[in-house]
Amino acid sequence: MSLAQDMAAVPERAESTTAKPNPAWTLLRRILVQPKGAVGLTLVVLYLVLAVIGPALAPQDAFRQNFAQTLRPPSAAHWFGTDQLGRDVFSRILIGARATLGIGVGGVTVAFLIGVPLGILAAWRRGWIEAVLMRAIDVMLSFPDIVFALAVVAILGANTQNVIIAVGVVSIPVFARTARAVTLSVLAEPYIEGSVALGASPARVIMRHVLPNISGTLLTLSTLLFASTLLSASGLGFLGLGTQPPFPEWGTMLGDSRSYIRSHPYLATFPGLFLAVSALAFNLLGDALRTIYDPTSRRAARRLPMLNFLRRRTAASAPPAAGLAAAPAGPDAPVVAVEGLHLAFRTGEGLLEVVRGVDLTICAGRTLAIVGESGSGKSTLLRAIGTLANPQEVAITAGTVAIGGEPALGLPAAAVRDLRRRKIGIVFQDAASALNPVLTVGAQLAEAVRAGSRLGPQAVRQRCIALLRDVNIADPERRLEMYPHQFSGGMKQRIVIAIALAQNPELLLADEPTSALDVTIQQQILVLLREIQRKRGMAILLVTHDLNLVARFADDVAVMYAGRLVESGAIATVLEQPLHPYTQALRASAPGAGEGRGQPLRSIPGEPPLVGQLPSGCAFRPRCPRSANRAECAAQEPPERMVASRQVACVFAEEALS
Amino acid sequence: MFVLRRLSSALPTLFAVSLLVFLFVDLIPGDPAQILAGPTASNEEIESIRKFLGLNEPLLSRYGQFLRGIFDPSVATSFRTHRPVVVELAERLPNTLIVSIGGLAIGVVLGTLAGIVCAMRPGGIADALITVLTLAGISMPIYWLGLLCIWYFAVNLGWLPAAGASTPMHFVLPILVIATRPAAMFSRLVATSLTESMGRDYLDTARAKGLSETRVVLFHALRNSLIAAVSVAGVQFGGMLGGSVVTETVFGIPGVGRLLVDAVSRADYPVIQYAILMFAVFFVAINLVTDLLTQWLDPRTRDQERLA
Repeated sequence: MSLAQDMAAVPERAESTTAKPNPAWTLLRRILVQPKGAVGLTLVVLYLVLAVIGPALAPQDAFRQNFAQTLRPPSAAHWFGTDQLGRDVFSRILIGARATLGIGVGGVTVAFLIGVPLGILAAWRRGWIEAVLMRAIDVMLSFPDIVFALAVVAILGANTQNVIIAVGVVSIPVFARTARAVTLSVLAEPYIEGSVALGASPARVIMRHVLPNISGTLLTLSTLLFASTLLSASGLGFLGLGTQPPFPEWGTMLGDSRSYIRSHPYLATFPGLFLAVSALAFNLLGDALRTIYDPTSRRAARRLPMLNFLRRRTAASAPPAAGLAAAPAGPDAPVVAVEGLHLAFRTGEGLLEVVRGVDLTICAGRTLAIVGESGSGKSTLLRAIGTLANPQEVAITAGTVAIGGEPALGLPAAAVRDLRRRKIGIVFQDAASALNPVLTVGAQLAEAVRAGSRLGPQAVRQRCIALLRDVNIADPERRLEMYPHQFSGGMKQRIVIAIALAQNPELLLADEPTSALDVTIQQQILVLLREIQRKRGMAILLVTHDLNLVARFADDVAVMYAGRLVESGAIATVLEQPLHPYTQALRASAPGAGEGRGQPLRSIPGEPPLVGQLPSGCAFRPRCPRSANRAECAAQEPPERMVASRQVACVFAEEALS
Repeated sequence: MFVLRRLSSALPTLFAVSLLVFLFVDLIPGDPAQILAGPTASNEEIESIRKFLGLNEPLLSRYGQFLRGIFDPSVATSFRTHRPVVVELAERLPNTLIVSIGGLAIGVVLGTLAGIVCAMRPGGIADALITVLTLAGISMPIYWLGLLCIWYFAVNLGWLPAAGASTPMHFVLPILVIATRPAAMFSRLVATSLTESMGRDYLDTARAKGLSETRVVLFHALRNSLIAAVSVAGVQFGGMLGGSVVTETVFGIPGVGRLLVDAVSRADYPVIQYAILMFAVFFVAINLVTDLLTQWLDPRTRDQERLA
């Protein structure tokens, strides 16, 4: 009965079916585009056809006993052989389809017709009805389902009709519980509350709003339950407590074959095969439906087509980028040197370029801030530099990254780990999700300390305490035993920083480290990072969209737009007198920058371009106040060039100087 | 306290369950004594059966007797063998538990391994193979798989005994066969929950420490799946106890499930009642234990408890 929990946990929100021209066809199409849906639906249809016309197809009388021909192996006359009474097994299977599937259909129908109205009623009326129903469901779910079905059969007697009742009654709580859960979630929607407030009758609200919205979940549940009902019912048949002889049913046939398994194994083969494939068919279809109606079943939706792994493997084993040897090396090299880096998302339709040729360097003790709108590719860039880009999602198509003078791309796994251990620390935007919720802070910190050194347990502990002191956490001994959820947001971020610092990294990557925190805490964290940087002399790569923070905190800034750096240089140079129109717009829209008192904040007109749908020429052209449809802007992507002691990628950069 | 609250909510459920099981005999349409005695029985025979089942006494005292039978072997005896029901159950329970616990343990281990493989190499050959096997495992009727395995391993290859429970070897086949379902469920659960947590920042935090991918997955990602795994394991364990009804018939194991099936086909009402009651008590207890474990395993809820 785990289904009940599965389904109840995921109240889905089906989109309104009324908006579409023909919901049935849409559903059919969405089932058929999934391989498992297509296979499952085809098999289900075949089985249902078999149940309807099977008896008419049977070549022989399934009930005629022939003691001259018992237990014959498959032959031309008897395709599936004959049973212990000389009856044709093929004919019995065809006729048995109706009883077997009929029990399944009947059982699910009984459960649906009783369970769903009960569930909706409980969700609608709440109060004692709900309390009584939930208690009754608890009691019913206290029996293993097949044992409950056995009890029902023991009370009513073994025959087909009673088996339907038995397996149906067993599934009532599953339907009632799911129907209640999804109805509750639909009823909590504001538009339903609205129509109730407007005086719509309960029947109307349920028919018009609730049923269409819960039908998808219930359809999925019915399909999946059908498979398990079929197996339970046939299990009863197998035990001799289902359909009674001489009427054929696949489970009963299997039960009969048990006595002959030593001498005549094929007797068990065919009924078992038909039964297993029918359950498989409904499970496949149910899975496909679940993918459609349950947005949380991401795994199924995100999975790549099966043969993709071939392509991926070749992509992964290909040399990642040209010119690895050209990466700058040596002791005087900058901590980070990125050259011509191109990154692309792997999608179902191929690669989508998200970072399109980025060059940057950061020296020890310096802080480079990358600024840009969401979707500009800055976080992907940060992760790629930190060797943390997920190779299944992001492809490095060209370019080099060197950290501390060592190439960081295309390394074997052990070398990547070593590089991360010795040189890289990382701080994420959301400290709550950057810490493992089920491990103590001490365990997570100690893990980082141990990965970088060979210290004894006592020394590790001392180091952890020292690290927590470094990030200004009071009473560190006690804090080590605590779990992340016991800390405030700012404290969590301090712990994340402590973990990042545990191995004395040369490079600290910080992905919007303060945007989840309130203003005073932001300030504290930044001051802390500054202080630590001064003490240790590490390089910091900071990704943010907050220009004010950049001005206060960074040494250099690189402005990113649509996967390229459009302007980069020292803070004073770039922010005092931005030359690229996008940088100018960013500065003008930053609070406290351009607007006078009482004036509204300015925003940048237009939308950032979608990845993979860039305009020709300069990507900023459609939103650019300077371009004004000049031909040069559309001709080609403007190259980065040195103008007034910064790199800028605008053909008309000089216009801002005059 | 959560423990007390959870216990106090289990007690009314147990009471309702016992009442339902007790009323079982009264729910049978017609006179159970008449049914047991058969159509040709004399009135005296029917009356003696009524007396044996205690049907002539008032409802309340019969319920008291029914509850007493749980502790007092002399009160409830099998209608067919005239042995105390409690003894009959106790003799067979170890077999049922061995098969269920063994199957659960092996299924959980295999399923977890399969799930890890799926999640770490999505789209690979192993993933495709395991996905197919998982679907097959969920759809396969245990009784058919059991028959096929008996035929192949016991009859054809002769490696293992086909039926019975006299030696440890007798338990190998049943345990492996019923392990398929928990294996399938766990491989799904682990794969889904790992894939979900693969994108989490805390895994990247762990990777940035320079840990190996294996350690990241086993220590950080899998640890978070543990909580969901415990409740699924509980449900599966309960399902296996119930499934013993079928598996013990397939493999000819003298266990509680087999006893219940025999009792149903022979209308041995006292045995049916107490066997069902025992299954239900196990079920309620498993649910209780998994709830408490889940609560305890998650440091977040553990704390709320301490504060409350």
